[in-house]
Amino acid sequence: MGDIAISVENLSKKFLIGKVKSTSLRESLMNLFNLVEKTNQQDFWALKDINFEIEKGEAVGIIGRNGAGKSTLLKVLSRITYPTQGRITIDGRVSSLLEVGTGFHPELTGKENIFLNGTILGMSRKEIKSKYDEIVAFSGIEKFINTPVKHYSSGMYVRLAFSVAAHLEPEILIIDEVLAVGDAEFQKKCLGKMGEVAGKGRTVLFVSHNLLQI
Amino acid sequence: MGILSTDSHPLIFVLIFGRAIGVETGGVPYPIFALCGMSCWTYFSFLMGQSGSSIIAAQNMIKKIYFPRLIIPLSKAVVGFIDYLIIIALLAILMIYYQFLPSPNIIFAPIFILITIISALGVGIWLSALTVRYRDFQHVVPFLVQFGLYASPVAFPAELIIQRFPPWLSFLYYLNPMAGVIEGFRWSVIGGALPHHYSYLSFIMAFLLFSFGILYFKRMERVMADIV
Ligand SMILES: Nc1ncnc2c1ncn2[C@@H]1O[C@H](COP(=O)(O)OP(=O)(O)OP(=O)(O)O)[C@@H](O)[C@H]1O
Ligand SMILES: [Mg+2]
Repeated sequence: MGDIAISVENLSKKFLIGKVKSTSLRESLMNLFNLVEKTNQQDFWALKDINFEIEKGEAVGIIGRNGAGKSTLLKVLSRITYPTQGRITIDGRVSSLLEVGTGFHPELTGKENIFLNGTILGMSRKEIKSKYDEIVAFSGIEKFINTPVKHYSSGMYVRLAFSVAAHLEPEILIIDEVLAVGDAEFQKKCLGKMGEVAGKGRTVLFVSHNLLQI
Repeated sequence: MGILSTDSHPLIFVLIFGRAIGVETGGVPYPIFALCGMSCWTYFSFLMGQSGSSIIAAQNMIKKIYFPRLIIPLSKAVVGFIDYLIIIALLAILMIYYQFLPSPNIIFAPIFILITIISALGVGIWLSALTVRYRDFQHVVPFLVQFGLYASPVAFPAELIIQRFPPWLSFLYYLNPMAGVIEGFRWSVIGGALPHHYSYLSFIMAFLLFSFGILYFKRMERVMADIV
């Protein structure tokens, strides 16, 4: 161990697809008395027996067709959802940026969300304060930082989200293909930042459909 | 938005109801009697009402960031507690106004406040986890809250139930955790005879609801992000 950041063994994740049975009390009761015909739900393995290891300081890109399970893998790694089978071992604080709309509270301002996210990541107020200016500068949305994030454009949203995730000094940075909505200049800046983060001995794991980025 | 600002406030209902059935309070001013029950009940019903939809309301965060999900119903408990304290302060003001001295039992009041919190959290945790599984559970909650007000000794003493109804019904009545808690809290403020020994049932229910609520929540936590 020591220099392995993420280790995944026989990881599998099962979803139920089709019309999922009983998401309501009414239906459950009806099922109980056999009042509805059997639902056509099926098991679906979004991830099946995945094994890999990622070392500290590595930047790893993941590609795959739509629905391949990339986002699901990242969700499992960030502990949002639980694996059905297998185990993952993660060494270090994880910060993740999953799909659009990452963990911001729409009614709070950009500034408040920075503090909220930092706190959730387990940072103290002082630590966040010391990073605050850098985050705002990197995102390039100083003007809107006191506006509720629900009024942000999707690009601005991602700018802020990326800046927060990248600057809160996680040992492991997980990024889904959110950067696609950022403009070319910002995407470049992000790639640079990801390289820099990895250079500091941290680990970056990201999903992209753009082979050049990888 | 707190519990103090609901329209058609149940306190009005309680005052009218109490007058109408002419509750015997043994010389205690009725508003004091009723507010003792209302303080605990309002906190309990606030958590009931708020917890149900809490997880669904926070689904954006649940799907995007990791944090212990139990924080969601717990945070509702904190918000409600501030209002709980305000109502207790109102009760104190009312007692000064009526120049009513609390009984020495008042030292036990914190215990009953604590059990109120445990019961309310217990029910809140259950409801928040159940609504993830059964979306339409949210619509059941308002009825439970309505019914609960009648089924708790807020406007009248629980003794009324014990005197008028057969023992098995009293037994059922005390399965409502708020029955014993309200009686206990009122006893600590007003004094008088000890609450009926059935109250222990309420306390046991409170702890059962709370512990099994956490267990159930922990189980649901594993699938929350997938099905919410
Ligand atoms: N909560 C869920 N319930 C049921 N099925 C799900 C759930 N989440 C994902 N899936 C299914 O799992 C599969 C993998 O989804 P995932 O989002 O991981 O794909 P992806 O590789 O990120 O695709 P894309 O390139 O489009 O982003 C899909 O078929 C999807 O329908
Ligand atoms: Mg995806």
